Amino acid sequence: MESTPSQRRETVSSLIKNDSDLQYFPNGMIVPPRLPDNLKYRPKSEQLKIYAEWVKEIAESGFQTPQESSVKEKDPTTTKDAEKEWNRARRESARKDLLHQADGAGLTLHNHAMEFGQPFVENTHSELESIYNILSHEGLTEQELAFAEQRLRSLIALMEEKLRPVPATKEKTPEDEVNAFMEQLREIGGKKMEEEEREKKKGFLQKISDKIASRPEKEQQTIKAFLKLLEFSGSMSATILTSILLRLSPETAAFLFGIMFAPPAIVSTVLFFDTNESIKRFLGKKGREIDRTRLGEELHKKLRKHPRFAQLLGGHISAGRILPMLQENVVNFLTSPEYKGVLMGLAGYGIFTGIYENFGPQSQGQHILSQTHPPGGAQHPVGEVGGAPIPPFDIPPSTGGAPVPPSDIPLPEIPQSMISQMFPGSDLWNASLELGREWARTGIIPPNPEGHFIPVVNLLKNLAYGLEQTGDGKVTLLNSDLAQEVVRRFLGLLNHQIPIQTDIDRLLIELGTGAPGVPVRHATPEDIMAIVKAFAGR
Amino acid sequence: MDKFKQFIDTLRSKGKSDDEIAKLLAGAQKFSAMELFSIVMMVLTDEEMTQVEEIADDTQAQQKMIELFQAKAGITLEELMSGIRDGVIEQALKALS
Repeated sequence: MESTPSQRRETVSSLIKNDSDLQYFPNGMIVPPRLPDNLKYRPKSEQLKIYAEWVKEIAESGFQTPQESSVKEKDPTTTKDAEKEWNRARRESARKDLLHQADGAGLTLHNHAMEFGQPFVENTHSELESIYNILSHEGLTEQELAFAEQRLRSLIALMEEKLRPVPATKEKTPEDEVNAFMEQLREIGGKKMEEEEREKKKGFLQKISDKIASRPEKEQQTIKAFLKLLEFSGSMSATILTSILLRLSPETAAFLFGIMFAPPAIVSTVLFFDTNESIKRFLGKKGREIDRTRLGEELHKKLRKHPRFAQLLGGHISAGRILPMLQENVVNFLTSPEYKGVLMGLAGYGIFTGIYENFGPQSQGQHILSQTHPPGGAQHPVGEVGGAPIPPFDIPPSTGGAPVPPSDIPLPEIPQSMISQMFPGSDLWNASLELGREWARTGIIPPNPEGHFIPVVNLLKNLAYGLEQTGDGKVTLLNSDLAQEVVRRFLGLLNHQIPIQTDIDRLLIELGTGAPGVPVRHATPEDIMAIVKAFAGR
Repeated sequence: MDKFKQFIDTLRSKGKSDDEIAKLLAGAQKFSAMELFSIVMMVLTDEEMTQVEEIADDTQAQQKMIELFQAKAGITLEELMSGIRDGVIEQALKALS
């Protein structure tokens, strides 16, 4: 049975037990009938109906807000006043709801303090207090409520992120790849430079470390990768900065910009412009350093504004003339016997790249940016960059996408022209790239279950080590028919379509796949001779 | 090409394997490509990018992009790429020294 307004007043009065309670209900103020918490989620017609009943109830109860009662008497049944009243009560209801949620957040923080760790708890507690300070005031405006709600949501999201179970195997992100690359260079270069740079930026880094402690784990990783770049001055920093910016959520990008703009964080660089007068002249940067933060910002804006242009440009660079030209330069240089091993390594990368272009996220209609953000996290609007093939990060994933059971792998139909191009040397990269594309298109080559290398690539690369050199510096290898036979046999063995019968079969498997945990060995000239004899005798 | 030789020789002198060198070279290529990507995006204005985007055919749009860049920068994309490539390798060498 529903209570009458007078009964409700009585109930409320009975709840007021002391002076501190009374301050919330000053001077005989009557607690208004409460609107349902979920009112805003109900259909508009229902909202209006509830609202009409509520206004009627208000009128019957004689309820007045403190402001109205102290200023002037109004007829709450007039539309304008009633609407105003309804809005005020709605905000009040929302405020209480937020307070309730803040209580919950506080409880979570308390209960999981050990898991969160001290810095996080302190930061979050401080933020929670600040939110409480806002919410403890009645009569908040829409903006104030929205502000408090947004902060509370962020805080809750942070805690949820922290409490989310860490997946057993972490997928490699582009940032990880950047880190790995930088780490390799740094390791080789020794620690001296790193230490010097670290010393220079000690204060700055500490400041940032303090700032990022309360960010979600994912953002922290990105920002840490970014910080490493700051230690690595020079044109590559700007390059990688750009790459990272392309993958950040707008919120994280803004956060980084905020850090970068804080003195002494503005790190300017000349990029490569100091070696290119025409570009420098064009950009009007003669004699001036380029602020790479501004560069990053501008790029970010342009990418978002011109997705198709970015796609066209990326396509031209990676699949058009530019990257192949660069690769050809490298390959030409590396075709001397001295660099044969490196060349074959690059060939492997070429095949990788070709395959990844097809297996990668772009081929599945999913933008690469969406890879770097966890489900539910902040994301770039998918499609804004429209699947632009951004060149530097077409590195294959270590796990290579969905594994395909070996028994499902069909035998390859390898175009002879590709095989014959595989080995002459000067066009190796392009040939391997094409080969990779073709194999991926036909679904022939899955990534191997252990991740890092594709068995056929391994086989070809390792066979190349044992092949004879010709006098003109080119690598003369198996003839194309023989190479095709070898690859067919190898894939047949790999698919279990052909049982392992001979020593040559075992050798192929060894050169192509390696034993788990054992580095793949390179073929010797004797191995090659044995293979050639075995296949030539068929 | 001397820079490549220097780069590889430096890596070899540090005891890096061929595979590792190949990966570093491939990384340098990718970074070079990204550098080019960034520069072209920066050099062309919003209006020029829009001009390119308004061309429905991809090949023609790319051709327009190349022309616009060359007209403004005074060099071709290929020339620009060569400059970047050397710059990136130089930076890597500095880091290794």
